[in-house]
Amino acid sequence: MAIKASVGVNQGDDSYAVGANACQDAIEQLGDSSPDLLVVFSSVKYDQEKMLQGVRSVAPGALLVGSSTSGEITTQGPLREKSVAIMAIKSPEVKYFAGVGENIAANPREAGKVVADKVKRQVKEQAGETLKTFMMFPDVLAGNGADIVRGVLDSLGEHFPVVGGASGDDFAFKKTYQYVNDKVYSGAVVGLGLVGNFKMGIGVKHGWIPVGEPATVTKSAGSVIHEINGKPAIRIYEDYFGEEEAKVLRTETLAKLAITYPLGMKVVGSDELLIRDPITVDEHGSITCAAEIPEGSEIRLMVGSRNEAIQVARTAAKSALEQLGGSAPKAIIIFNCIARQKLFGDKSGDEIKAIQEIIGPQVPLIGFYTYGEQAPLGGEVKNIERCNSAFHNETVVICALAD
Amino acid sequence: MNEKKGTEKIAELEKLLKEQQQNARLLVRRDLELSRANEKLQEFDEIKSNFISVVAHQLRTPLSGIKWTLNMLLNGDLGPLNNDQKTFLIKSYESNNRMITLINDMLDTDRIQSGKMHYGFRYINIIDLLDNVLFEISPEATKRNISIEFKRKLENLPQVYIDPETMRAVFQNLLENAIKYTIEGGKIILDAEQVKNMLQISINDNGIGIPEDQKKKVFERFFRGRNAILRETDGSGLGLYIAKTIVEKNGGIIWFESKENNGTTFYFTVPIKIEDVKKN
Repeated sequence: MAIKASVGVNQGDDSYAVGANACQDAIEQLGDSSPDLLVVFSSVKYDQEKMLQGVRSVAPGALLVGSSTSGEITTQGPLREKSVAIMAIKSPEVKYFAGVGENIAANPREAGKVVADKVKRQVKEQAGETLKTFMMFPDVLAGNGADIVRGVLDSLGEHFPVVGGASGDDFAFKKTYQYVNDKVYSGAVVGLGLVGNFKMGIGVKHGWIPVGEPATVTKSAGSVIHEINGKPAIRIYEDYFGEEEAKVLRTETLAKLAITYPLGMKVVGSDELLIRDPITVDEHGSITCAAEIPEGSEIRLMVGSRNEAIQVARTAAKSALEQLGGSAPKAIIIFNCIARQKLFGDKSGDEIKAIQEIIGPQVPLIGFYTYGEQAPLGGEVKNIERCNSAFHNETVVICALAD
Repeated sequence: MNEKKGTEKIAELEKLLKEQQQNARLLVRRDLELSRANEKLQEFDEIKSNFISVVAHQLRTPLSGIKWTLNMLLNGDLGPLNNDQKTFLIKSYESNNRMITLINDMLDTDRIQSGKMHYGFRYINIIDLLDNVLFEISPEATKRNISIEFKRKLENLPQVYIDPETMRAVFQNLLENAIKYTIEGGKIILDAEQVKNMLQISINDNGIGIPEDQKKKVFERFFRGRNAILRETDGSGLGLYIAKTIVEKNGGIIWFESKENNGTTFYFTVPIKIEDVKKN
């Protein structure tokens, strides 16, 4: 029997009811009241615990993983109202195992290792098979996203397909949440392991373009860049943005102003520069990014273009489909950077429509706007020796599941 | 000499780099300005949407109250009415209904424009949906002695992948228009057929038609045909705009054929369930 997937969505004021209705909607469309897996993406507008209770009241037997978001995406496109979106999946050929790694703030790498270890252990004990893919939802407001991915790879091996999206909080950059079954976490990373007879294709692209001359990171520690070209890191933004905007940079969350002007650095294995989003700036002008930029890196300021972003979304979708070896996609999960939502504004549906033109408009699709994406560089999953999973920013990651 | 040329070349390149850097700054600043302006426009749009929503809801509540009261009066629940009283009350009732329709159309238009219209796509039998709408609108057709027929027996049609709620509004708008603009005793013919991977639905009437020079504007907001205005028929001019947007959001297209005084046929397509698409 093939993979069956469906997507349910709901909006409203009562968190419990919205969770229950979204799940009911997914189940009705699945045509099966006992899905194997629920992937839940929710706005932080809702009381997270009550929302999950509502979801669980409808499908108590399903394994549940999920995350808070900065905007939910479904088959109908990006949702303009704060919603709960749920994908229900059923297939006798696929098994799912979930885990959580807590306290990212104390040690992000350890949290990544813990969650992957937990999933790996369950796979070994309960399935007696090999873990094929690892999906994750980390909280990168709590710690360095690249370190979390590094921790996951410490456990699963250097070359392992990891895909996922960092939780959001409706662009507030204050507190995000992760879900496993009926529990709500914050400052944690949730992992989902997939085992069995299925195919997965991953596409990842950003399409941001470098402008201006290269600069060198002369002092950094983890995800904090202290100096660029020997000057406080924030100078790069002050220089490009001009005096008026520069004043605001220190009073508002840097991410709100600069997220569509990230920093890009060269990495091996990707034809595009790897992007790092600036999140906050301190009184010394040091910039904290969503993941690290190592000392000595050559960086460029990047700008986005809607046309280019749509083109690369199509390319990423094609790339994900190509990896399915001719099988039809049965479910699509999209991790789309919040910067892309800001870039497109009220035209954000154009990007999702472009993806659907490639994958087919009737394929169940769910996703969310993230604070960072995880995927192999260049989307490489077939040649495992060249599969280098990394933490990305500003990308659209398209994950396609097929029989 | 060569050294001098080399130095000059380096100076030239440095100048070019400096200019390029200056251009990059200008580009970023201009981009930033445009982004900010765009954000402001979106904020204003949100304010406009909220305003329309609040005003429309505030108006709809008393109008619904008036409708209820007029209904009671017309039914004789509050005592018998003479013919004149009845005639005036019917006119009030119809005017009130027009206002309610206009407000509902305005709310739908705003939801469409602000991207807040929700589309819950699922596989359904579209004829069930059509039958449902026909049941609701048939009293108006009967009242005006207009017959509604199917061109052929619609059997074994494939399932379609649409949002039933919004597509109901498309059927409602097109059928209500067909009834409204068809003369008493007229005829409406419905049909559906598979065309490649789409189901094509048509609604044909033998009504007043659309003037040739106004055909281009039919799907624009607030458009009303010259002959429709002359006949003093009701209408907000939003129905076809709403129908077009919804059909396209559902993955189809909409068009029409019409001749003034000789009827109109509206066609629209909806995607067929992939598994049901017959290979040609």
